[in-house]
Amino acid sequence: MPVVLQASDNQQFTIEKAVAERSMLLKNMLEDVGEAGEPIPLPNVAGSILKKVIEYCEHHKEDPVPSAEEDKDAFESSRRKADDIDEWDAQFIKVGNEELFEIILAANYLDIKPLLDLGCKTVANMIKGKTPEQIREMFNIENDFTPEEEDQIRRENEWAADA
Amino acid sequence: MDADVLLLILEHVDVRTLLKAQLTCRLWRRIAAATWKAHCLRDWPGLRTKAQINKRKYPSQSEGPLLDETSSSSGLESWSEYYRQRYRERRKHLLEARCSLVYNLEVDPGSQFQVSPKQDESPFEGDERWKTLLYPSRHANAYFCNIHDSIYSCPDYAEEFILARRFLISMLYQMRLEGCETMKVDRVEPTDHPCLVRVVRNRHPEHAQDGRTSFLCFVETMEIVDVDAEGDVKIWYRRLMDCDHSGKPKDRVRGLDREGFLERLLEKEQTILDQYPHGMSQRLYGDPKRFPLARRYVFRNSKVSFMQGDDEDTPIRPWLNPHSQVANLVAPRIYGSREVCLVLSGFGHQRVPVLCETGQELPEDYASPDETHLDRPTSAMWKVWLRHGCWSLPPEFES
Repeated sequence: MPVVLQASDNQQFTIEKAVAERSMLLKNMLEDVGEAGEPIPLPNVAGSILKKVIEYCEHHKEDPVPSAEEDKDAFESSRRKADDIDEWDAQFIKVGNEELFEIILAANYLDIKPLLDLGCKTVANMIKGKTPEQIREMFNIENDFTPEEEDQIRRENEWAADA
Repeated sequence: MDADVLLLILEHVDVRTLLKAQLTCRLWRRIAAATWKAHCLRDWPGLRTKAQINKRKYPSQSEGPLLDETSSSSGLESWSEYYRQRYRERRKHLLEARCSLVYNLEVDPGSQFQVSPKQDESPFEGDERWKTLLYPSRHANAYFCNIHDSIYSCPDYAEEFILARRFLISMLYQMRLEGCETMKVDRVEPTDHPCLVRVVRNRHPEHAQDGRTSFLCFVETMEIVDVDAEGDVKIWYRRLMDCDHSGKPKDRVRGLDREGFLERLLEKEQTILDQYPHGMSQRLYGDPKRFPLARRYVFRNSKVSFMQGDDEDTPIRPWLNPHSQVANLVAPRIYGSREVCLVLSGFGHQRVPVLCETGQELPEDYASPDETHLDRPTSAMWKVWLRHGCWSLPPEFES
């Protein structure tokens, strides 16, 4: 039976159950309340972002879900390698910064771990090699350190000077 | 940005970027501090990190400290301390391995270079030329002498480094014998020769990997085991494993059982030769230095007498030329290198020069390591590859 999702701007999307179940939030909801056929409201996700999220879930609907028996630490550590992004995923995530952060927030809210990882890896790659000043500029962050604090942190980080 | 999303992002950055991110603002610094466990799991995913996690989960069951005694903190702070310790350890280990290689290649090709465990800095510190040789780390692929940094760097994987080196020696030597161009070792970028990313221990046989291709290898010789397109071990190896000592099949081949593979294979090789029942003279058995080398030679040079047309009931057996049975091993002083030994055969009194590290026979026209004429087949290779702490006979065995 298809599942209907309703975005914050009231746009509705009808998708297969298998696609919806890539989201742990939706999977649990469907298990708890059954398939009532009513639209599921997603007040935290705009229609344009939800469309993008659905595109991702449709492409990955056949992907295996790691079993609970798998070594959690090994799985977690492999997820965090920022340089192993699939070609389709790399094309998919080529979006503007604002949209990228919206996708990350939506993936976090809907509990879609692979999409959340993809977003985080992409941002990680964006800040790689940047100076603190460049990172501040990129994320519009105000420097609230005193010069003394900054000096102290730099001294603490000297152990990795050749990293 | 949500703090939990920022946490996830910072778990994905490399440590260099993480340290920069700590300097952006107080919030980022606090969140960055919470990511050290994730970085430890990603960058040091071995047994010690797992033990560290268990120690924290079940402190009463842990035996002794895994962190340095000087580390007095706990929680998040101690994960950053653990990361720092592992980082320093890796750097020191990498430096030692590279010093050893560079010293052997550039300073004294005949010697065994040792870095004192207490010595934190390179003995070449301050010398720009050595610095260039020892720290080519800014290049893209992190290879040093065709072996990836990750193999050098962790004491947890010292055995993998030995196998990686043996694999390269075996393969490069074979390529040289087959007439490939004079081998060059590029210290900065990988060459066209195989570059090892990692070696994975899977009981036996050994599984080596160069990033694009995987090889199944025998650990003793790092000789590549033939596999078919599906990755299964070729039929003659499987049949060899599944036959009894006299070469008769115990049963039909049912599949690959890797447990004890090498031991069972050697057992079969060593029992078919009547006068030298294990392919080696009895006097070698009590000799802990010579015996492993002789066994490696036997293993490397045995052939499997199996014809493609034979059916599965045809006995098969490993076979060593009777003239190659090992009567003794001596170090050939005349060649000036202990990386080569002479195998004295049981029949015909042949003296076969053999690479100790791999058991490979040298051709009759090979050059001594001290030979300076580059037109001789192996001179260049000796100078770059065969002189950095490989398997060798100790000097007291010199003939």
